[in-house]
Amino acid sequence: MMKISNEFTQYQIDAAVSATSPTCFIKHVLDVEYCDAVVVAMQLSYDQDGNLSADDLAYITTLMP
Amino acid sequence: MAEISGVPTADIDNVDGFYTTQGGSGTATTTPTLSVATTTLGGATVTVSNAGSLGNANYTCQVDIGGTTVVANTAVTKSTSSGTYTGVMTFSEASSLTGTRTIRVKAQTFGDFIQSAEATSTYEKGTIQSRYLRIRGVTSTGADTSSRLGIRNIRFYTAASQSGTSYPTTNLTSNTSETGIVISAGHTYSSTYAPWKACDSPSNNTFYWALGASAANNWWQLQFTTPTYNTIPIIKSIVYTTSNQEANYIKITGSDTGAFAGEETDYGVYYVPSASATYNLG
Repeated sequence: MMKISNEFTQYQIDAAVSATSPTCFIKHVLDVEYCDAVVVAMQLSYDQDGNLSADDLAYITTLMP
Repeated sequence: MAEISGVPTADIDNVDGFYTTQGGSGTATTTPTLSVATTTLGGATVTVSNAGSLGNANYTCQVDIGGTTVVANTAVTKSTSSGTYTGVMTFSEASSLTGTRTIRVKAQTFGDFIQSAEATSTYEKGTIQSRYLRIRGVTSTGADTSSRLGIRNIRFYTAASQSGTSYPTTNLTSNTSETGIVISAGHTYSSTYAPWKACDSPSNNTFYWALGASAANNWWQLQFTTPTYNTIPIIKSIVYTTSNQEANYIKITGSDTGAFAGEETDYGVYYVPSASATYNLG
């Protein structure tokens, strides 16, 4: 599996983007607009290797702006 | 200059263009008045009560014990709003020196030539001794908040500056893996972020995470149980490492019954603003 950085794999990032939205994700990583949903999604995705549960997805949704 | 080598200069003022006074007077900034909320383990939030009347003022703030400065002005966090200091200053103080701490504050309003007189306030460091120790996410005023806790590592020490015996004494593998200690929390998102993970190996990247907590259940707790701890340890310092924490402040309270229904002791509100950083309290 391709590694994007020392921290995250492509699969983990894809899961986080899918759980949030590309727009929020890009704005967050470019430091244009902080998005807590992205922070949480990235952490959950990292800890669970990209396998986000239905509960995870539901909770991340509550954090979306 | 009123004198030169003890000789009065009044008689030679304005002689051949020599002026003994230069008329360099100016307005001194009004002395700030302080409202101070201290914490048991050291550190405080200092609020300049008359900041509104001081206008656009800069502040110097330091803490001394006797003649020794234990918190330098540069180590004090000064809140701003729209680029102006609000008069709210926060610091953590981890000195192991004993004795009365003196907070020294001066103000200087933009346009004033002279810094204000010094305002001071004093406090003493205390200790923590309770059977149940609870960490809660709070606002700057100590009010409960749903802003989540995220604790990568927390240890309680019997001596100042993170020395002496630390509790838990082992790296936990469950909420009850160490005899005499029980870890719990008001809310657990999942087993991945279980309460005990705040006390597993500090080198692990695991942590307790109160995702989805409400203001009421946004807390983490350590209990010293009997008979291992018939005598409850006296805590003088704490290390607290955040991880994805949303709350900027934590409140430490203690209870001997575990009820936390009004009988608890308030050990203060501590400023831990970074989502991922280590704070030495006390």
